[in-house]
Amino acid sequence: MPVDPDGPSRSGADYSGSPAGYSLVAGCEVRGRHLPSRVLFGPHATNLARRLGPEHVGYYRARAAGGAGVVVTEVASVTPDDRPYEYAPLASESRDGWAAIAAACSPALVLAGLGHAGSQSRGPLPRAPAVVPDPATRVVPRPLSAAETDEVVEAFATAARAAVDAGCGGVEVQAGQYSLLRQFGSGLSGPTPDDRVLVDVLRAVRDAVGDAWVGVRLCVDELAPWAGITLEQALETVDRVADLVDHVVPVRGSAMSVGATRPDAHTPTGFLAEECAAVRSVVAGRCAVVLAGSVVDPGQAQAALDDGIADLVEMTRAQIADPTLVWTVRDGRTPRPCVLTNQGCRVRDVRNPRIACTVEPAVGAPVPGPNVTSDVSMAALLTSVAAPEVLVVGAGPAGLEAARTLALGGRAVRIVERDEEPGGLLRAIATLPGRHRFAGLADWLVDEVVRLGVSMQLGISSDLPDGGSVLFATGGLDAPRPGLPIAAVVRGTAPLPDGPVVLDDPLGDGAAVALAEHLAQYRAVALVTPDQVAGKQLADLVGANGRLQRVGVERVLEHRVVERHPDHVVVADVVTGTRRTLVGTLVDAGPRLPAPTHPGAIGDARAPRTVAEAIREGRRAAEGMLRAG
Amino acid sequence: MLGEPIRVGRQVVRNRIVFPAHLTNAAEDNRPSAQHAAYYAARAQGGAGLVIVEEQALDRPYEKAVLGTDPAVVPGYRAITDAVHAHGAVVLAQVGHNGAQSSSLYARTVVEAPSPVPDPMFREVPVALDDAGIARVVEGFATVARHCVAGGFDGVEIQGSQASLVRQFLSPLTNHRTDRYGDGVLFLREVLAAVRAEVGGGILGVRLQGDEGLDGGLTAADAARVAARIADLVDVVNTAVGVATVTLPLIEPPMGVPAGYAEPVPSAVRAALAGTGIPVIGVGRYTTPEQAERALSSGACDLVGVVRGQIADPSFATKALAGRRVRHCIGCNQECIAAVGLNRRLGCVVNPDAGRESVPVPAPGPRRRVLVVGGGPAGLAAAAEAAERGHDVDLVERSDRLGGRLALAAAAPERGELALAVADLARRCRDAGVRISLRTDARELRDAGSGAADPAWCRTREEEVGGPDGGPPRQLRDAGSGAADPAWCRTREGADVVIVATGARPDPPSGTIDVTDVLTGTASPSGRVLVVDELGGPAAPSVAELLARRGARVRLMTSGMVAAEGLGPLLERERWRRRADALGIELLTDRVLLGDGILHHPTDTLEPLDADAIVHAGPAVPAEIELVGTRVGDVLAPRDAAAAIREGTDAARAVR
Repeated sequence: MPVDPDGPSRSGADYSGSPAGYSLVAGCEVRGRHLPSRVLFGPHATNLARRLGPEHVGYYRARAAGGAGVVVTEVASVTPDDRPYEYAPLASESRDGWAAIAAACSPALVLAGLGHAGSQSRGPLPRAPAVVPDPATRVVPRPLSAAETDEVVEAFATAARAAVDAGCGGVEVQAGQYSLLRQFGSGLSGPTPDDRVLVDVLRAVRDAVGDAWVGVRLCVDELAPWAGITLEQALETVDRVADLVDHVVPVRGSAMSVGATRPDAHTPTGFLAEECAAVRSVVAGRCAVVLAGSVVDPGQAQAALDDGIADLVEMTRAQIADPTLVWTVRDGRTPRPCVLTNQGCRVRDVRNPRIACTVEPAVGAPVPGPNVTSDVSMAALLTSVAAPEVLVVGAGPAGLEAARTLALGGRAVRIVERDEEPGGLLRAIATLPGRHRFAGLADWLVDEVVRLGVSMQLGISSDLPDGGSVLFATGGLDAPRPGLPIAAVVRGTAPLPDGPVVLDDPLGDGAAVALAEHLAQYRAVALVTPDQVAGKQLADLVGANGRLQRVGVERVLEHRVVERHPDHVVVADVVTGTRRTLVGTLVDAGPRLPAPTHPGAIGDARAPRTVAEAIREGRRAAEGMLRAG
Repeated sequence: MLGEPIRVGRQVVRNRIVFPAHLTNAAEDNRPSAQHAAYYAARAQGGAGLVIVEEQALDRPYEKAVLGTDPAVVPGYRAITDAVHAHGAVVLAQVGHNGAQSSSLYARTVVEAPSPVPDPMFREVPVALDDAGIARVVEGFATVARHCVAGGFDGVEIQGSQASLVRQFLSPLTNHRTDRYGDGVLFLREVLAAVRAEVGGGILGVRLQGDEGLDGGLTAADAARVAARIADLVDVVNTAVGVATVTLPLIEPPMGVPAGYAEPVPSAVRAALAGTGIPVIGVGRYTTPEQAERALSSGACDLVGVVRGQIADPSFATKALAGRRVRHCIGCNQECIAAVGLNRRLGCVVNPDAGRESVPVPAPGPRRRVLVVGGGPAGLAAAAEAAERGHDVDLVERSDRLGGRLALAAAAPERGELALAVADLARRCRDAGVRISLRTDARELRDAGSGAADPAWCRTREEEVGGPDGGPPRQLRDAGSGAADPAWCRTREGADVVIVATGARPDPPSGTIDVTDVLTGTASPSGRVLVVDELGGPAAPSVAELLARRGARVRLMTSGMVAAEGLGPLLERERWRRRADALGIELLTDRVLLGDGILHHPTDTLEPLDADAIVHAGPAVPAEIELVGTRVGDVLAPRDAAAAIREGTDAARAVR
């Protein structure tokens, strides 16, 4: 039973009012320890550095300072041959990093994430329970002998001891996604699944760390009932481990369904509530239970606590988007909303991107950053009252973020926007499937500039002043190509005639995929892409292609449009050149154009890209102005 | 002609063999590493006349780029140039800016280009450079060149071809400007003039694009025209075909593409530069000395670029000049092109030392008797390496031929060059004196109970040979017989070291035929054949093509999202798809066998099987053998030839 963020909770309580009084954000006693809040910042890959070091310290410190109750560090591999991704930390090299993070994050409870990726390792010769290839890489692992398995168990204990000795409050053992301990329990990974190795690890870890905190992140549903771990089996495991641990975080997904573990907004938020409640009832108070799974709204998190679903709530992506989430809620305000696109924070990618965030440009910014700072250092930029007013032209994400940043810095700001409603393309994007959270982002940005006293004039085609402090954030332009421009179609300014639609998508960045999904509910849709899959640039690639096929979109893969006519197009195979005709109205999802050049234009006006770049450039331009005084 | 010295600028290059610039991903913290120095030095030591070190970037195009604008690169440059000069080669650094062929992923700043035209692969709308931006970029080229000179390079080469802002200025597809830089040569001339001011009398070269492989794109005639207009500024012109982010297979074609396919480009440039004394470098899958020699003697170019041939055999040049056989690049593209594309370090299937030249190889220990069980790539590599290191080596192979599954794969259409890898390994074994016994099953040696003397290798040193995981050795039962009496058993007193390289065997689901059986000829399915691909590599597409050529009506099916997906990174997929299309092979994705039908899993739809035969390409299982020894290759975990050859080599080097 997923919790609907906008609907009533089990208890029927109303979460629409001020959140300042939420128990979620209040200090509390859990398992005999004082926690600053009931919000957990979960383990995730960051690619910030090859070892846990200063960059990680800054990253976690920001969340702890923002009020997180529990911080679980990036999972460190307990054996040196395990390499889940190129920048995955090794436990044997993490002692100093753990010590620094633990010291920096007090009074939050810092737990060292410990794991072994088994067949999901990317090392030269992964070791696993059996000779079963990883579905993603198809790499065949080497089976662990009984003696080697014992060594792995011992390695968990050794690493746990080292983490606690370094100053961590305890550890969280990974038996969820990317984990050998899940694989041992799964019929997907070997012929004789059982949870004995997990129990052995937890017992060894408990023995090694004594009273320190021991958590476990446990897969309770591999979404593969023919062989994978089911909730029923997982509850038996929970029963066996509940006395050994201080917390359980139920998670879901196997190597066959990696995208389901930390899904995007196509999956309802709080999707593990039912499983979490079942776990908590089995646990019956023997340990704490943590609700995980796209919980990004404080109201939903509070509902889970009030309804007895969980003792703590993991809000990882929410705290990537807003490190000060807990303090913001305590102040009765709404945190900067995570839009659940996974665009910047899904960094398990061969290119090794540093962690980033669509809505918060400070995340993962290289240190020293190119003029990107977080709100924490904003005070340093406070401007003199005498500085002239800044005119921001355009109230899309770039303009709103710039105005907000300037206002936070004490600058007088005025925004002019030609539309009747602020938000720019965010409003249009939000009408598409899986993108509804962009409306919340627009609302939040508008609320912020209003709160900060920015004056906003809507419905004004601005007469642009010469000189003065002006920021142009007027957005991109539709390209003068045949076909209806996708932005105009999504905005509703270019009405689609009835009948089939052909979407020409040379970019694969998500807009066309989302529009195709949307339109396919009402009409025949063909999506033409030069790539071997639709939506090549999407974090949610597998999910998107599945959805497109289920709603009946014809994916015209490895083709490009070569002739454009009012009622049909001709496409050609990009490899063989073979041509065919597709009947329908052409929608052009190709690259948009920048606005005519203005010095210092930001966002799409400079070069049409994604919301992330628009917000980043809004922030940077504003900070540049504040520095200049 | 290959051995004739040639003047390049004020330098004399000792022969005509060039090691052109290519990505290695060996940078550490975006600076040159000790691996770079060792890598390039190995080719200089191997005889290359001119070494051109990979792109020193002005921008942040990929994670492991060397950022040439950072002064901290200079000591690393010095290490490279000292190492290369020590072996008598001339060394240049390539300097480049990737323009729109780049990503904001690392720098988190907008990408820049002549016009706001997104690159087909990176797909980020760039900002058009204004005059100030152009001046900044030109100054950036000069800065990198200054660092190169300070680091001891003999000169620089400006990247104007595969991934390059210069190319974007030159190409009408990417330069839509209406200002004076609408003439892209103007930009190139400004870059060259600024760089010349830094390199002085050193060598200044440029690599020009001669065939973008795109409608309306640059051609050989364009390269010739550009070359003529910059002849006053450069000492050497290098050539290339293909755009890295669109037509990559043109740059690095896979096996099956003939050498010299790109020769029209250097030919045209050379004609345009006739009388200037500016030498022209030609490239294009020259993998043997004969091919390189032909390129020179035909007048296509003055120097020959050999990248993959010198990755495969660092001593290519020395061997070429001495008329000796080289270790062949087989054009598999697996560890060089594909691995680098996947952000891993460059390696080589046939040369296990490529990409780890900086890792010292231990000196050989005392001469040992080594028994290698299995004559696939792992066993052959182990035997050859051990024998070359002075050990006394026997190799036994159960079947009647060498090469294992690698040799089998060579039987597939367009995969014949794989056989060269087997032949090269076998030749090494022969030259180093390995005794090879075919049709010899190591297991039968133990089981036959004739009462003859025990094969001594089985018992003499077993206490020194650990189990596969380093644990205590298993006892060898029944280690007594002489019935089979292979040569090594009859004549040797015993083996000190056993290397087990027995490979893997197919394990097809019941009712299906394994691809291996099609390749060996054991099975010859016909009619409607469904080829099920659980591997994603070349095996299933190869066999599908083989069967279609024999007249079968073939469908190739995968549970994944893309058919023949693994051919993509190898740059084989486009060629294969054209052939498959001509043969009428149908491609099915997102489907698995289920009972008597096919399940389309995204929609949960069951489809009829509609096949007379099912051919299966799936994971093999280790062909274990009860024998104490070091396990290498597929018997350890079934993978590929690169792992097999690397592990076999390493096991031989570990013999103490």
